[in-house]
Amino acid sequence: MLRELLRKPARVSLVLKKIPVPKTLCPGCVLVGHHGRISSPLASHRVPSEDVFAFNLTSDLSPESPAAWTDSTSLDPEPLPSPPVLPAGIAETPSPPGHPDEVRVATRLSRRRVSCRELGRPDCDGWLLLRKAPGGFMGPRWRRCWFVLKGHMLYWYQQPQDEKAQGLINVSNYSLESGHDQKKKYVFQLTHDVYKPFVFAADTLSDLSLWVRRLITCISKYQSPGQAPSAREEDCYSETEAEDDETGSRSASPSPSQTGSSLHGDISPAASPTQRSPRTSLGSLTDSSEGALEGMVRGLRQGGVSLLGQPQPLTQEQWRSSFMRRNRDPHLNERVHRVRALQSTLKAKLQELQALEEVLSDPELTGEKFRRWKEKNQELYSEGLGAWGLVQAEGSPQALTSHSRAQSPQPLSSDSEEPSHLCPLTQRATSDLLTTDPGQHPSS
Amino acid sequence: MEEDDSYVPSDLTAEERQELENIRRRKQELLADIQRLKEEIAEVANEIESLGSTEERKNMQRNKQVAMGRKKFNMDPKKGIQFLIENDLLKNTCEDIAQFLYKGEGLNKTAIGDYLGERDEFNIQVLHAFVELHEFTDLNLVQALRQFLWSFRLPGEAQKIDRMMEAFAQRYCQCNTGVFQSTDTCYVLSFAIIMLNTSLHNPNVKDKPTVERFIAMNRGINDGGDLPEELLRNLYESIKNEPFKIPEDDGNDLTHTFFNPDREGWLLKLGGGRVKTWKRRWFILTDNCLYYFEYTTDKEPRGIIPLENLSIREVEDSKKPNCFELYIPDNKDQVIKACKTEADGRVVEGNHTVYRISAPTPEEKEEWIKCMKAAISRDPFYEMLAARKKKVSSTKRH
Repeated sequence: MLRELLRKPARVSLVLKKIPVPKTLCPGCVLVGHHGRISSPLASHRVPSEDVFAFNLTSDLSPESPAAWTDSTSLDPEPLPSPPVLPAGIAETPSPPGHPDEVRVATRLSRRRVSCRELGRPDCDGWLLLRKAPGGFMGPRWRRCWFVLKGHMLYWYQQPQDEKAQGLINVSNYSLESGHDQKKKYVFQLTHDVYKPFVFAADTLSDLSLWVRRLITCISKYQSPGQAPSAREEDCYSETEAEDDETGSRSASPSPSQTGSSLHGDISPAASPTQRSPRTSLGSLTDSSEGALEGMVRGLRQGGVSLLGQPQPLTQEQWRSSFMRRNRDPHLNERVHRVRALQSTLKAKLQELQALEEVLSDPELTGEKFRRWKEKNQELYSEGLGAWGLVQAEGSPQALTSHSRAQSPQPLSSDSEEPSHLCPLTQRATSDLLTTDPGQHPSS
Repeated sequence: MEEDDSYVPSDLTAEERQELENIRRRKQELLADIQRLKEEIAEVANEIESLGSTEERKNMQRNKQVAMGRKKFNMDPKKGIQFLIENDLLKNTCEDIAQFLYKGEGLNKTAIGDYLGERDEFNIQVLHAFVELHEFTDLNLVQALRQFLWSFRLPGEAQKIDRMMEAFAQRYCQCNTGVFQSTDTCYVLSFAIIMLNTSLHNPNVKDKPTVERFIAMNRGINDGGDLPEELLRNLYESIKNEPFKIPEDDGNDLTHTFFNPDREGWLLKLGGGRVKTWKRRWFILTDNCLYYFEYTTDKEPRGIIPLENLSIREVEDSKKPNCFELYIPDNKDQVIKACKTEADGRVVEGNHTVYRISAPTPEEKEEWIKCMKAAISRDPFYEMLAARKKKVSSTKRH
């Protein structure tokens, strides 16, 4: 049946349906001791063979994951692997679907904020095309994404090294069907009774075969025939565009449309676009010298590594990390940051001094000049207008003297006058500097 | 003793007079702050230098200064060499210095690579002298590369790599005449081999090249002709069976450790989102990335704008002077891959198709743009390699 599908994908219509388990069979029995013989109810059910994967489930499951079957004692979906360490910014934790009782507020954002690395060994991964149906009269667009199947979740990423998935599907709520497309050959889809289907295309027949097999395995493993499909949208899928997230982030926007190329112009710096070699689909030029070179460079870029194999920062988190972690020795690292903060502050003060000098040492200063100077410089050099005691909305009697503390680091020893500027933010800045510096000022 | 700069223009209002007075006072504060900052910086710098000195003391037997020189070198190669020369421990000739680096005793290989890659005329001479110390005769290219790439850690910047590989290629051809039609051939093939090594052995690279692809990739690089297929196969197999041994990036790369920003300063940034406001931020350009902070003393950046793939243009703004924008060319709707931290600590993806920035003066604007452009194009690795390759492939054979 599967072979039939694979041979003539366009002709065979394939649906994996959930079939209710007859009462006589207790769920546990199906699994324990029946290594590879799955759901006899399925096999015994009289359904036209085109409609069910039953035959192939049996043969596919036995070699693949007998252990999982015998271990599990219920048909409940496996709990999600324990949530990976989320970046510090995210407070929420994902609640495993299928356990709605453990209600923890999980934003869709946080469930997708998991990198491929954090998912661990996938059940299946690889490049696939995802069909995006646009509104309007234009034909559907395809976007190449890196897909990862883990447990009962299918994640996809723009790049394998992204920190956050662009979308995910809870496969256990879906049906696997074949698909059709005018332009693509190896199409399949995940459909849902209520929500929109997801249509995929593989590059090659063997890719299609691999994904279909793995998805079948996954669905049969996690889909509980007795349960009604979850009605909640967030339990079924999550996707950047579908989401109404607070920043209106449009990271889902497609890479410059290239047939089959997943590279968004990384290879050449934007500064010289005319030098970019024409991008082509992966298949056609691999034999040519140019194509082969480009292909290899692309491979390195996609892997997020430099020529020598050094990891290159590509995601925001990696850039942040590259900034924060300058050296393995934490003490040295902290000192280095301290120096950086000091030097930046010094620079800022020197700049401010220079600005002040414009006005203070001008022998031909006029009111007009002064006003213009204020207009130009206030915003940049006086924090919230406070430093110069310039006329402002909230008058602060002590703004004159101690505002400098806000920008300068407090030496840790004696000079412990509390920063008296009332602006809470600047106080925070100062106290931050005080508290984050564990090294004691060497007492003199 | 206060200067008598008590000139007060006659046409100021009472308030303005007061403001001017405050500004004078502020100047004194600043002078004091600046002095204090300089002192503190010097102190911390000393602390840093003395970090790890207890380790070093074990090694400081007879030649204290040599050990000190090595340590200095590992922190800052130029200073280290200078110190050794000043203390008569090293002669100020490229041969002598090259020997010192080639021997590499107690020297960090990243620091060696960094020194050899510098653009200075003198450093280039040292590089050539260094390369001459390598004996490549009768070694195949992979063997020669193995030796070369183990003697120092190849730096990341394209220009540096270019210089060093050029020197290598010249030396190899000198030792093995007739193998390649030109130095460029050797250069291009060396790069191909290095990339092959990473592609085959780095787990992050999913696309593993086949020997056929490797051969295809190198068509025509022998000044328009092909290299013998057997040669290429052997090189491929050699790499496949044994990856290059490359000096470790042990996370203690002191050349990355210290901040040395290309540029930093206050700039006004137009906020994203529905209501756009101008905010003052401290910008730091370093490591090909633009970081910005609310305060100079903030340890963590508020926002990060990787410069890869961005372009810059000058713009006119109705509200602010000296403006320019960072944007992604060829793709109007693609959002710049930036992010920032909200006040409550959440990290959100930026909502910018462009970043509009206002500099305090036209000169600052020019400088910022210049520095950013330099940073963006700092790794035109692919262009460089492709150009060289094109040159060598299109050379007519006599």
